[in-house]
Amino acid sequence: MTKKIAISVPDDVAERLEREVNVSAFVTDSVRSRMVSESVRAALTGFGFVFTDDEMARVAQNYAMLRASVTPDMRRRSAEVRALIKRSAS
Amino acid sequence: MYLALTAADGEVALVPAVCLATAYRDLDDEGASLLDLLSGLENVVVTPLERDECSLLGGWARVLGLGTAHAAIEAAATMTPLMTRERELVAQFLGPEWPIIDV
Repeated sequence: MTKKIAISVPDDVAERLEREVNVSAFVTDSVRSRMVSESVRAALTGFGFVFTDDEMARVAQNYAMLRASVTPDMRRRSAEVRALIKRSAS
Repeated sequence: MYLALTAADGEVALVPAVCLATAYRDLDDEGASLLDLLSGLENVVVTPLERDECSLLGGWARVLGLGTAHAAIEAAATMTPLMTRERELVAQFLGPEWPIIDV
């Protein structure tokens, strides 16, 4: 089931949406992603985890650094492991 | 906190099945409840152990133990950061530069 809604967005957002072939799908994916995030956070908070803005910012910074630290050695090692797994299959 | 972060970024967190099983083995009932929660989160994917991975897993497990070995193999195959308390041991298999989140 779908529902048609009308929204107002800032000019820069409207420009971004104009680049999408399927705006409905794009907005749906974006909102669903947000819904998952809210659901995960609610589940963790319900269990007793506490998130402060400072801690989340620190973790986000650390994680961004880790994600950006892909080296040629890592790529090589990843390829080696995939090759080892593949060899096991034959 | 990393789980919340990956969810906010629209990403998934991979939990290798053997790693999850060994965690259940090692924790009490309260810990098991937490594992139930974590493994059931919408942005968590419990990845199976495939037949093709068993030989490699067995070899790595001699040093890392089954759970950490499965996690290391999964991290290597998907080229993703690994969350572990065994940084030095894992480095023997993934190299010292592999991005590790220390538990």
